Amino acid sequence: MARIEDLLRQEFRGDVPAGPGPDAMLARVAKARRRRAAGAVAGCAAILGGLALAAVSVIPPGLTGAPGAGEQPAHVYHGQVINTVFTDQRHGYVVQQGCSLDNVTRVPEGAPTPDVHERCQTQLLVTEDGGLTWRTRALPGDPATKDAGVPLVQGHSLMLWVDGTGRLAFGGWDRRYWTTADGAVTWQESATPREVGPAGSMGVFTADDRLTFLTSPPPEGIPAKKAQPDPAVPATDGSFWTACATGPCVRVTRDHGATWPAMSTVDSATSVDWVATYDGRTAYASVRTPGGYRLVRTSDGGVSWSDVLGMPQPSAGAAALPDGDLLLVRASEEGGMYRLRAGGSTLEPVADAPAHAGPMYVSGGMVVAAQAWQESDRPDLASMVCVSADGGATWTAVPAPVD
Amino acid sequence: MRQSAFEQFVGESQSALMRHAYALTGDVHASEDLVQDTLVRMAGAWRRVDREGNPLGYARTVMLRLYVSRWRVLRRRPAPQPLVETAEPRDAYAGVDARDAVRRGLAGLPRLQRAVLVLSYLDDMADEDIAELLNRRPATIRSLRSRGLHALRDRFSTSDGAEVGVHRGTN
Repeated sequence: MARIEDLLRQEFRGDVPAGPGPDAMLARVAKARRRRAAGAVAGCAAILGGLALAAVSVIPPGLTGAPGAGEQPAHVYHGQVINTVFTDQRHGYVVQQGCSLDNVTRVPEGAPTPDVHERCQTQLLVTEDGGLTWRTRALPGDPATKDAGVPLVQGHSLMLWVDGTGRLAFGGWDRRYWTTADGAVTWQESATPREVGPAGSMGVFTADDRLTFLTSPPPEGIPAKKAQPDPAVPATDGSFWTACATGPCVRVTRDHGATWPAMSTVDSATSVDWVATYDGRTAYASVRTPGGYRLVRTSDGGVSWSDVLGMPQPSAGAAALPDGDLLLVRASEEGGMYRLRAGGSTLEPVADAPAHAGPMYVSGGMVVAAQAWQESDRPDLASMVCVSADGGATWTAVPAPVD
Repeated sequence: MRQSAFEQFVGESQSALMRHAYALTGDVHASEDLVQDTLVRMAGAWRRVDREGNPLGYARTVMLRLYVSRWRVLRRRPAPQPLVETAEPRDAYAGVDARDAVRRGLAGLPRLQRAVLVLSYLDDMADEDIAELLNRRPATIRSLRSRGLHALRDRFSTSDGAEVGVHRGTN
């Protein structure tokens, strides 16, 4: 049984018609450029006018992407988690959004692609009892969701962090940011712009949720590893880890990004999907082999790796814990969280855990499991963040985002 | 005769550009047109593009924006896609031809949804990078992909005998 995503990969990466050949294509390009140069002076006004006319004539009423009554809903709703930070095992903060989005339905051939309008409400939730109860606090501004110099990470974005003085900081647009020292009751805007690091550096979280800028990213860049909550996973020993973009290795920097030596995993591996570590000595990686997905482990900081067990599917999220255990979420329809004990070789199901968590990490001694993305035809979204104060044995849910 | 840098680029990158164009359009002639239009714009900006050092990346960005742009949609309508079932309902081959069903499903998607699927499953791009490329929010990208996949799943569930497992996995 093939998944639709796999079928798409096969389709897009399959055989492609050869095309006209470089010489023929160059000739077409040259001809088109000559034609364009000849018509350039007279063309612009006609195009602008023609666009308006065509837009009116091509799109029949009611076919602009907004469906009529009785068809599909006019909006879809989604929630996303921007970040969850615990400053200790009692005090935690969640910034999340509830959004409604125009429901884009099939567009008739020839009709213009409709605009997609989106409205979002950002919410700050605060707990003072380790996640048992949460209350809403006002945010001082909108979180920056696209901001040069600070990469965004799904569910663990650098818009909520612990600043150099230990205060909670919240980043907004135009490099504005605010800090709070009283549990987000009051905020003080910083007099200086939010730091974005030197050119070429890479902004990441440290193991204690501070914002830092590594000198440089790994040589081949950061691969899009969905199960790895951060571009570079921070360890308590100051190292940062990431899967190699290509090849069966992980890259580890122990000099704050100045160098990123590649460390090979196991011989049978062809690539690495993610890596997880807490202390920088014990680390786990999900590797692909010709025989399927395997979980491998190192206990010496990545120098040597050993095979632990096979996995039927890749993982949607994984977190290494302070005691050496690994929690991982199975990427399948049924999902499910599993624990690998430190030094063990079998997975144990974790009861009452979030089954479909994505990003997972440890913050302030709490384990955070976020469902980074949720979509619904109804505005009442479900909880998207679960937290655990006892290493994943028991979990409590954070209230759902509201639209 | 020595090739110019632009000619060399076309020779080296045409197959990669054709792959992207074909994934976006699903039609040989439309993909050739899309590659041509992309290269026309590349030629006009070649000095700057060559100096910046990533012409293939620039070309893919240009191609994507051409593909989703209103101007292109209005000016050049691609050839109609074979949306009708081409096999008899009881044809044994029709049930297992998942790729054919994928192609028909893709042909019915809005361009933005298809572009997001191409960037996600051909290029394995992160949502944030796709959002940057398409000038949308990452959440919008996720929604567009979700709607596109949903539409394809619907197509599989309604097509006669398509033996394709449809999972709503998280990865």
